[in-house]
Amino acid sequence: MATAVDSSRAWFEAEGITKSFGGQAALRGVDIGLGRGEVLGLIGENGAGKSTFLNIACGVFPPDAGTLRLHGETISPRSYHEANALGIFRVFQEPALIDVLPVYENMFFGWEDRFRTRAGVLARSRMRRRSRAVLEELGVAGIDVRRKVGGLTPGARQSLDIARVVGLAELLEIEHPVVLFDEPTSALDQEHEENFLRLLERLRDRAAVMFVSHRLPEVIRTCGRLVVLKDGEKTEERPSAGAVESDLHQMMVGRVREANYYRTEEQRPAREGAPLLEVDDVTGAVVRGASFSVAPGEVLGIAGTEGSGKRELGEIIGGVRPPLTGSIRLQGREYRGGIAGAVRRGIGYVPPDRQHNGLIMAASIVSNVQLPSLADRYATRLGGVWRRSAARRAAAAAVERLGIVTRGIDAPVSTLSGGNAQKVLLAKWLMRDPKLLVLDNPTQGVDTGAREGIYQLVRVAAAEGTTIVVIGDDLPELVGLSNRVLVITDGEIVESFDAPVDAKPAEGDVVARMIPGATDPPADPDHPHPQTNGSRAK
Amino acid sequence: MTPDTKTRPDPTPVAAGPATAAAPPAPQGPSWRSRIEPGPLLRNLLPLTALVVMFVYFSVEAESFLSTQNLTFMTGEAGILLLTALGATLVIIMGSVDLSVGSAALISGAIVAKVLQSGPIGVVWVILLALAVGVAVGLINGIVFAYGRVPSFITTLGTLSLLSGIGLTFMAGSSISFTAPSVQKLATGQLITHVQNAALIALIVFLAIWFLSRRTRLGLYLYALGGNETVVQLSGIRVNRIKVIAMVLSGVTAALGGLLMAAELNSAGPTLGSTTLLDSIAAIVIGGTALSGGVGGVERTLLGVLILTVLSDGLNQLEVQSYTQTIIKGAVIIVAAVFAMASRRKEVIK
Repeated sequence: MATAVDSSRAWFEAEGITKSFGGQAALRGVDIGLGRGEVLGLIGENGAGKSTFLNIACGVFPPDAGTLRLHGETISPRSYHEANALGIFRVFQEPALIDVLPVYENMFFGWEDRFRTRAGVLARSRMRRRSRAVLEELGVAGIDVRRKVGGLTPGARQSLDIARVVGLAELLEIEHPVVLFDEPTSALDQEHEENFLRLLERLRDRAAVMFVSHRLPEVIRTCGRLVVLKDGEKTEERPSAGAVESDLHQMMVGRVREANYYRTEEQRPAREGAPLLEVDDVTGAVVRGASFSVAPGEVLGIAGTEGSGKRELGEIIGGVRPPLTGSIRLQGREYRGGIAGAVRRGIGYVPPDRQHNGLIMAASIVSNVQLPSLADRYATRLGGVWRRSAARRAAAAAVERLGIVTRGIDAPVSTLSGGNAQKVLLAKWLMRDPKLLVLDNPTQGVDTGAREGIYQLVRVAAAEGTTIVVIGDDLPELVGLSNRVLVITDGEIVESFDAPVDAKPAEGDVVARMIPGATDPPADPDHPHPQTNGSRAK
Repeated sequence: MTPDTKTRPDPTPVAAGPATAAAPPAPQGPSWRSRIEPGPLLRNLLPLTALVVMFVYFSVEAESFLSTQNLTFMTGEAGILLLTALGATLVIIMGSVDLSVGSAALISGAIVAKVLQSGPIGVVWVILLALAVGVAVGLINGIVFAYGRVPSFITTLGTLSLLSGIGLTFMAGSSISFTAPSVQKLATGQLITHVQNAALIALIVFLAIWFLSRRTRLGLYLYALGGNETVVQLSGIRVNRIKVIAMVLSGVTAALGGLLMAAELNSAGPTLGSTTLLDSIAAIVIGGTALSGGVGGVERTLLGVLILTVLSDGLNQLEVQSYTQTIIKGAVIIVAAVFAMASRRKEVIK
């Protein structure tokens, strides 16, 4: 395959990169060139070889075959540190920051020797100055460099992760760094995504950027050129101008993305009759005076920016934390906090962080899915003797029904792909035929193919009468899935959009209500939640 | 003494794979880890192999090792150690630790001895008394740890000192002797010939705790807690209750151990239980239960107990100095830990 990159222009070239793990090929002869000022999008399903490529490019491990060239010279970085010194930087999938250290120490972590005074002492003030200068240069406001990273918002962490690349490049006197972004926006909401894209734009004129993402619209918007990996091979390379999402999707998975990705035609109108869930004037740490009700079988979306209170609202509804004031009723009966009680009442809460809060990664599928049901299903009432075969049968049936790809129910969850692990997490609750399921960011880090499977599960559960509350960072997903979308801003529910099958609200309209202090939409006399003029100061 | 070097399989075929093109040797990267990783079969067989090898070695080297008298004695020693380590294993499975097992044994032995000194009571009452002491100790540990949210290490470090102080005060610094043949029989009697009753009791408790840990929801919760406490909590399980129960079980088995130690000697002295803490944790680690929780089991602890008992008795028979024995024991613990760590592979950066 001819290299499309003009060699006089290419800064970073990978040629014939091949890598296999345990006899299984992860990359097969991949050629990728990256030119100055270019933002190249690298896309593919989970397991297509994107991360392996990034790992090789930044020295985490060497390729089995193939060469890397930087500014025309062959390089073979043996560690990430060495790659940095050469001018290759990576922004990792999850911000790789150390919570207990302040911002400025994180910024130059691993390169402290460059800040040694003659006496051999660390010149902290110089570190702080440089950190401040970098943040300023990038237009990142409101981060105190002395603050510990653990206290930063996810958005600030992301900004810092990018600022670190700039800071290190300047420190190491690298004029033209190559920056690799690994799924940079998967954990961000709309607002931070825009912030991120702005930072990327600033980086662009001095760097060459490679960008890995699942989120196709964003890739098309951001990148000049696209490379598609499938099963370790480059299957397509094209300019992103004129690329259509469904075409890309087809290149990645080898099938056409259904026109109806969110399975909207399976959406049912909410059932008539008594509401299943009633939230009455609930207040939490951020949430203020939230009141709404949800019908059986309804899918309710809650949209909001990071820190808007949407997460907290989900936790309150899920029984994870009690409301400070107000009440929540399930089928007319109040429940107060106490997640054990909530689970017993038929509520399931799926947290946003699957790996840390959702699943025991080292434990088997069956151990994970049976956990909430041991109390009432898979152990005898007297003595609590494990009903082992019943639990295993149920787990096997769930694996079958949800289409979880695994070698068996005894496989540790850590061996599963992100999408399959997420399905296990859903299975854990769906097995209980819950009345109410709260899903916080249910497709985080899940590839496009598996996402569709998850949407289908949501549809089926709703059709069976489960009420579903989705808290989402992915707005098209949220709108596509929901019967109704509530918008929460600064802790208050400011809008409720009906989202029937044939009249989904426009994404822009929803976003307009999410941003605090944004221009108010035309006044709606029927609207039950007038926007207050409360604290909207930034 | 380590029989592993010869039996360690060559992992190269698995790590490299036949399809790999000729590549420069890569000392960096995460792959090196797989080189020292023993296969799961070996990992499971290693403690058993070590036990068999040691047993054969001591049988050959020390004439008295295989004598009926010595073997019988060993059943008693192993029984008491097993008892004290059983509950502690449950605590470690849930990712915590109970450092107060030795003190629980001491205080239980002291109270039992004091009561028996003042007059004979029925064996059943003695057992109930020890159980009550164990429950009390466990409740203190459990409540402070779970509801007070003090890390188990700190909580039980505190009660370790607290309880042994109370126990020693109780003894006023010297041994409390008593005469109670029926109680002594509890430890050294032989309901089954050549098996001391202490071993029999430990075996019964072992079976009960094995069932509890592997076949009841409490046991499954303990493993899950060791895996990830947040997940367990978000699954609607009352975590604190489970923590308290585990601590109580640990207190109870330690107190029963203390009772048997006192019964064996017809007295309780200041040194009662002084080696219990280190030996029980050693047995747990050597058996292969991870201190980080979620992995292992009481059946492994049984193996660890047998290894430690054979090791220390064998060395005694060979008349190895007790100081030297301590050195050897320490080395064995470290070797066992190295293998336990090597078997847990770090996740590859994705």
